[in-house]
Amino acid sequence: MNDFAQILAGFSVSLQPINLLYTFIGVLMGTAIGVLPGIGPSAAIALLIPISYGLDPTAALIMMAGVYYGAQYGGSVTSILINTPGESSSVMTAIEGHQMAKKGRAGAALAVSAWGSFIGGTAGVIGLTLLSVPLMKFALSFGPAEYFMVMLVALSAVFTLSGVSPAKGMFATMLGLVIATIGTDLQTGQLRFTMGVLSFQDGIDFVIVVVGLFAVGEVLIAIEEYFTKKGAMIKLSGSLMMTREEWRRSLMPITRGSILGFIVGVLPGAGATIASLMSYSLEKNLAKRPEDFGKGAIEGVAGPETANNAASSGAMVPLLSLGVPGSGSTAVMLGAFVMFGIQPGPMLFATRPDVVWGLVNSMYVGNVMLLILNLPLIFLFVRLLYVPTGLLLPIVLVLSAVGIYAVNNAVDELYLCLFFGILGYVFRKVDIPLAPLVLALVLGKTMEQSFRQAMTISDGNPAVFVKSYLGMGLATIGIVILALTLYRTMFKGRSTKLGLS
Amino acid sequence: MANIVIMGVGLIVAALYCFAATQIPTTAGDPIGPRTFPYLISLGLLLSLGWMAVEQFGKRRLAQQADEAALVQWPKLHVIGTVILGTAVYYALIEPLGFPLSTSLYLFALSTLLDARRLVLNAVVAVCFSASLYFLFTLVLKSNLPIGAIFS
Repeated sequence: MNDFAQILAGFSVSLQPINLLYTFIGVLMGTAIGVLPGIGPSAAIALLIPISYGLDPTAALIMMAGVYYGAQYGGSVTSILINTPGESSSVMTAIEGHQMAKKGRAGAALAVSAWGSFIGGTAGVIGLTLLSVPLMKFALSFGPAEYFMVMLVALSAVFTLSGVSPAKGMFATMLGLVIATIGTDLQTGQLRFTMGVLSFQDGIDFVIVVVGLFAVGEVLIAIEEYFTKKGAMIKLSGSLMMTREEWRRSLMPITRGSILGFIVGVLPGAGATIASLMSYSLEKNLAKRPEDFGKGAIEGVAGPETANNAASSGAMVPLLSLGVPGSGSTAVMLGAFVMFGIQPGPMLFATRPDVVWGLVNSMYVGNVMLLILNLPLIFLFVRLLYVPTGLLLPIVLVLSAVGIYAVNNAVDELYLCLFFGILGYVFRKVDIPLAPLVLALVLGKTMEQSFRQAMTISDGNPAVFVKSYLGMGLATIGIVILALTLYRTMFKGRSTKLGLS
Repeated sequence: MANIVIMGVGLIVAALYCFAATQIPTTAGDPIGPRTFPYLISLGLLLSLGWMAVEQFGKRRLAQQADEAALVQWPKLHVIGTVILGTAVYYALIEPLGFPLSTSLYLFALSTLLDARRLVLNAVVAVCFSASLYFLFTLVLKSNLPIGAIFS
């Protein structure tokens, strides 16, 4: 079957009633997660992993992807109404969106977010469909050395771009690799770093780490903020219709946001948050009246909200076609794939095209569902903001506990999860980014295997990693990224992170 | 200050990890062996700590970075500590008390710690949510959650 036929056949999977139902559940949960503070898409996907063990893998992955891209839609609601981003990628939306709400245009701000998200999300899925096939074919020629270099560059890009300090990002990456090496060595069968704990022989379960770091850690931070920060909510009133003038002003930012967001999303390390930052900066620079920015310019909502959705679809490209995620949340998605015994990457397109294209095509349907949920039905989600946080946060902790306990009925695993929760809380406080840690944890074993295979083939000669043009090119990219970051650290500081802030 | 603590702890982790790597038995058939990759990770840990030191002590760092490091505050540490301790106690009670009862108690206690004005609502939500979750997991998802001596 040729590629086009396989892509079309994917619709027969994604349009099956059961998969439509899971798409709907996923995007519904995603929107709710985006609206609710204290829990993000990574935590939500991690919590769904143990609950989804019994489900059909395609349906479960469709649902988790729905949560992943659906959260980008919901994140704007809190940004606009209470000036507190539901997700980090909606930070820029808060600047102009909240000002629009203060001027009585909350409805228009939410509408432009929904339309921008829909257009950006759909454009991103089209880009994903078009780009993943050639990239996958290119990746088929990779040997273990090239794979190792791809993963190394992805990790370097993630740790240099996430967080305030690249050194802390690198530290987090190394900690992720440390955790990944715990357990039985796959090639020799030797036990490594198990500290005499029997359950560590199979390694530390990815789900325990991710639920701890993201769900428990995030709740602890949210509890702290619950006592220290209070946001006043602006009531949503008026129509969700945009005026002709507002449409005219939003059209180009949405177009630019779609393209920029997708490109940024595909590149490792950047992701939805940086895409929205860049889009805001771009719109501000291109604006005919830049003085309107900061006072409720609709362009500053349309661009970033489009860009973050396009980026979330773009980030699926390296995950699906290379098997190498470029962000924290796609790393959690990779963990979910692996849990179902599915290894994303070029071979998956040949062995399980139904999973790949069923999942990708479900994102078209999911974006339509999200538009409906976020335009006429947004009033229902706004009600979620009235759920007392004092009840919501303990519930998330209980969900984390039951999710972990139900898998193996082991209380030890709960304590391990709590340990990672405390670690996640402390890391957030001291600005150690979690995305590089999770990414390194997910890629660690594959990385080591590729490294050892490449070194075995070359009789221990490390030149194997730069022997091919691709390896040399990747090494050059990696060195340039590191050199530029180091240069900024030593000579310019990091205050102008990416020159955007 | 926070950065110096991170560097200190990081150094201990790197040293322990590297030492543990030297203890891994090697086999004859594998030219690279199970130690090489951990050694590289130890090196990476040390490099990241060195980089952190450059950021922390480098002459050209911005004053802003020093401010950021100094600004780490722990305003509600006693509440966070209580939540962590309470969660640990809850985990310990799941099997002896059973999931529904321990979860109800935990939810009620924690929601009351966060907002003591809504005692009745907290109690109703705690009991109803715990019971629904128990039935969802045992009846629908076919998981095995302990019911506890009282209900068995």
